[in-house]
Amino acid sequence: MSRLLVVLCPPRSFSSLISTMIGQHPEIYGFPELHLMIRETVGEVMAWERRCERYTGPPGLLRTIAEIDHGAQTAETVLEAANWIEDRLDWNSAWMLDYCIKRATEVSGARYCLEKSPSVAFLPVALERMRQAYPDALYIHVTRHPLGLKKSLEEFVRESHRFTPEQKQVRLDASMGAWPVAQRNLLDFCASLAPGQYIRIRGEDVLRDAAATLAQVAEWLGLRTDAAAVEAMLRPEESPYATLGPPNAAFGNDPKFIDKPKFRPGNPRLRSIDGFFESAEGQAFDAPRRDYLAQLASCLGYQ
Amino acid sequence: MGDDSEGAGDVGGSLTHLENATLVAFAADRDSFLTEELPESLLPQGEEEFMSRDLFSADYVEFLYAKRDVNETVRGVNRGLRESLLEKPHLMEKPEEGAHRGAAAVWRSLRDQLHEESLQKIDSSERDELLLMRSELELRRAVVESVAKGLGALLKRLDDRLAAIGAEDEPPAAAAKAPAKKG
Repeated sequence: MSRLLVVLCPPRSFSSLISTMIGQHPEIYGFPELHLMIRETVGEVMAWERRCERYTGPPGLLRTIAEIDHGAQTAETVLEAANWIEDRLDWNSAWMLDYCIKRATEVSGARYCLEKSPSVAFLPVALERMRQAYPDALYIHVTRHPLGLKKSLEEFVRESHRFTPEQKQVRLDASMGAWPVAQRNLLDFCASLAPGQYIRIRGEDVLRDAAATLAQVAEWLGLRTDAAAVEAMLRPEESPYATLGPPNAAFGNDPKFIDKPKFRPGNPRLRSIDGFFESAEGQAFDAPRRDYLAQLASCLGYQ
Repeated sequence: MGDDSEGAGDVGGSLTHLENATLVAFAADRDSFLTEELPESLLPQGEEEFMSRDLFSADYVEFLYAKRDVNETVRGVNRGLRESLLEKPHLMEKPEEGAHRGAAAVWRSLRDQLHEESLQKIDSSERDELLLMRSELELRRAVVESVAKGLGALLKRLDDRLAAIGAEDEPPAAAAKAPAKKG
């Protein structure tokens, strides 16, 4: 069975793009967001999903089961997958993840299976559950500039049709706090890993020079770094999870990524954190919060 | 403002840019941790420890409570609307929403009748759980009735159409049974 490789990052951190790119390496099978380790059992995962009005289960998990067990993602195979999952509500979440890894290995012969579920960045319990269940897993911590994440999060909330104006406002008021909380969780988590067990990359570096950055990742994993392998990672749109799924499991990755899954190199402009704190919005933060955020950002290579 | 850090590959927490040769040497020894005992978690255990970790973590807990309160209010307001929407799936904002809810409700009803899950819960659950179950079963019934109503309308239309066709032409089966006329 192949080894688990986990991309750690909060939402809105290029996670769908970067995970799918890495997952396109010929020796890696890239899953969409499985949302499994957020709870202890499959039944608890499904209860959480239904609370979020995803009635048949996590779209990424449904698409994965449909793909690896039925060879296609159609409304019918997704319903079959949902039926199959429903019969296993008493399973431990890690058993379900093991099943996905085992089947993906059989189907693809991959040496690693890549999982990313950004919500775990906010759940210390889920992170620890994953570490205990997969002591041999390897981790890639992907970071994004705090102001880039804040802007992306705010756009996502404003454009969402799911939230009422009140629900949007609560989220917008806290948008600056998401980055330090998630990054602190991930830093604390990585501190309890062995030094060789994780690598940290900046999402912006992938956008600037994907070939070099992803080749380093492949090298660290002990995988092929030839031109064909690197070029495969530059074509995320070829992943079976990069397009819109059937109506009963349409997403499983960021909708914006699914809308435009091709990799477009760029040189993201990184705003100055000090400059933000001088703005009217930044003035709302007191000195201890400003210092803390600036230190944390500096620790991750952002000024 | 540009960023002058070079840290594309920051391995093991160090912020040093690594040449590929160094990375290979590092990767060769990467799995040595597998023989070591799993270290203690450094993540906060429980809400109090999380809140006292730093100011943003404390803010985050407050945010979670605020989010929960708003969500509960919205759910309370929407409950009646959602129930009536289930009875009128065509009013749902997106066709997918109707399909998801409808398929899930019909499917769970079938499962229930095959495995008698609700029946077992009814005999062994507390009052609160039973009230929740009643709400869930009523919703399912609304969907199933809506589906049955739709199927009834389709069957009626089909029968009307068959009757109309029958008036125009004799059905092939009837024609086959008719005795052949002798010259």
